[in-house]
Amino acid sequence: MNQPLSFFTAPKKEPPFSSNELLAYNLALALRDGEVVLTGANNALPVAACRLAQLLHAPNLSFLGGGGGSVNSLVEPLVFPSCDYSYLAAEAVLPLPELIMLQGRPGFINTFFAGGMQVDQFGNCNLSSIGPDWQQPLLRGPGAASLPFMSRFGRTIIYLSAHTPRIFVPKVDFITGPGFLHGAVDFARAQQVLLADGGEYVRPTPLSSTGPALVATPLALLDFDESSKRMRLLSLHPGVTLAQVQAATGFDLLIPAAVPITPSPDAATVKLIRSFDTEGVLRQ
Amino acid sequence: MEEQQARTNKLRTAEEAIREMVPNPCPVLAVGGMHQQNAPMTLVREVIRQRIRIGRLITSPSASIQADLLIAAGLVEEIVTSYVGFEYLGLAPAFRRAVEAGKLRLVEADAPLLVYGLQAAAAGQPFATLPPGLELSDVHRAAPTFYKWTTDPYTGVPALCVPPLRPTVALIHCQQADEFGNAIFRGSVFTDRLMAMAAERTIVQVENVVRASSLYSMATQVGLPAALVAGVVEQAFGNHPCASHRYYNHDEPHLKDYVKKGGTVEGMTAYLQRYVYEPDSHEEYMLRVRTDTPDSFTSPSL
Repeated sequence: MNQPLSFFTAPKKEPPFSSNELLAYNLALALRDGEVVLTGANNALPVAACRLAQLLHAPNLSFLGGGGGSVNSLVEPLVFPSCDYSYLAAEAVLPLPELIMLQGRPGFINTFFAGGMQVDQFGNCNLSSIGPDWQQPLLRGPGAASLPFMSRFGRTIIYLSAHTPRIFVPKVDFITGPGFLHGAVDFARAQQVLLADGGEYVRPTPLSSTGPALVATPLALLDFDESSKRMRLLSLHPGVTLAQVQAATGFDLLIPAAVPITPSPDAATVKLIRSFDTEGVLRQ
Repeated sequence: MEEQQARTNKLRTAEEAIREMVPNPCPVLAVGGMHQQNAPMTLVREVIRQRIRIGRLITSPSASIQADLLIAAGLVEEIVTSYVGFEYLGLAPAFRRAVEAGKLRLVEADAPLLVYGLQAAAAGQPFATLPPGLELSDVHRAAPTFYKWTTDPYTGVPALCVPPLRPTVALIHCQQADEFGNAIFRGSVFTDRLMAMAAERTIVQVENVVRASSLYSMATQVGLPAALVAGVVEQAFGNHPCASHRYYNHDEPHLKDYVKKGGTVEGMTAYLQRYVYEPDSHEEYMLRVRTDTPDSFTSPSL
């Protein structure tokens, strides 16, 4: 046999954490004690982040399962289906119609986890239809779910399982979930003014959402520039280069002078994640 | 003395219930369950077997195979939904193909249209208003026959509204019911109760029928009273390939297979033949499922 000696002497080493475990840790760090967090479909990663946040620094955080209406599920084991029966092992359950009602209540949902087939530089999300004509889509997505409420939630964290120029587009073909709309000026105006029925009206109560706050992908964490509301690189994941992220993004990302590396979870934190992710959903 | 009338027994086979209670064409059909959970698939398959044409299909905020299969069978003219997909298993093949080809009219809804629309129908309200800010989504521009403006009479400012959504028939799953139609939800309810409260007629597909007298000690758990239920169909494992909360999980291998086969028209036709048109009974259906994907069944861990 012509195998190198190292084939026999060096066993294959498992990495200390997976890409999703890295994201779960950093998403947990972004969550705050006492806030109410809403998750939707494909929610294994957000739920892991919420549970980890509770265990680390946010014991008073409450997370809601958007389909089953569970409040603070046990989450052991973490599962893929967002409406799985096991989510009902929880502190409380809100009937779905009431949960949807409460999504409109001002100030109730502090953080919402959203996905998208397309996300643009202002954090608008498209989960509906790709193509210039909504009536004849090139690709029909699943649909709106709770994304239109993004204008009413406190803030939105966008999480994506891939980072490509087809996802990160300069302008989404369809705004399912409104982010910063056409930019800072447009967003600020929309908070105060209602455009309806051909007219402009001052809103009796301004919208108070602070909009998209964070974007998490397998390559990087991104946020939004305070004044322009354009998407900005926040950190590069270990082993990922700036060139890689720029090539994977279909618009010009704002790049800060110094770009840190996304913090890695230490062994104790990984152990904590795996204490409830016993089936390894985040490692698949 | 006159003979005392017996209370009406609403138990039917799936075939009887669909034949007696669902008109063909059916103007508006609501089908319950959310994602891969609690979908009354035996009733859905029977709707397909009887070739019931559906003018408008209303789903829960997230539909899966219960909508996709009806679309695959070419029976749906219009769908009012806020999501049709297979979640972590991928996009819905028939829904996607039909909308992209212009063969299915889609009313792009958000969850509030479904919830407030069904509530308005249940309550007899002329329409329901939505909280401000939702108009910033393109969803409302895409369905102008549904999302309309009115003037808030208290502030003079426009408010977005939705019309009542009144199903002709609602098909939902409850884990149990008695023979008169008092139905019990043993897991998540999603928007199923709402559908039943809004619909002209509701058929409930259950895992097992319980004796009426056993419900008196648990009336707070009876989600639907008999007065809102027209028919009860008892079918163990009737939700397959979807889950029935507390009873069995969804069948992931089968759903993966469906998504894969559904990717082509030929594959979808073959699926419909094998699992919907050919089996003459649920037992025959289950036998084919077990033969084709032996690792199908898992129990809930709760």
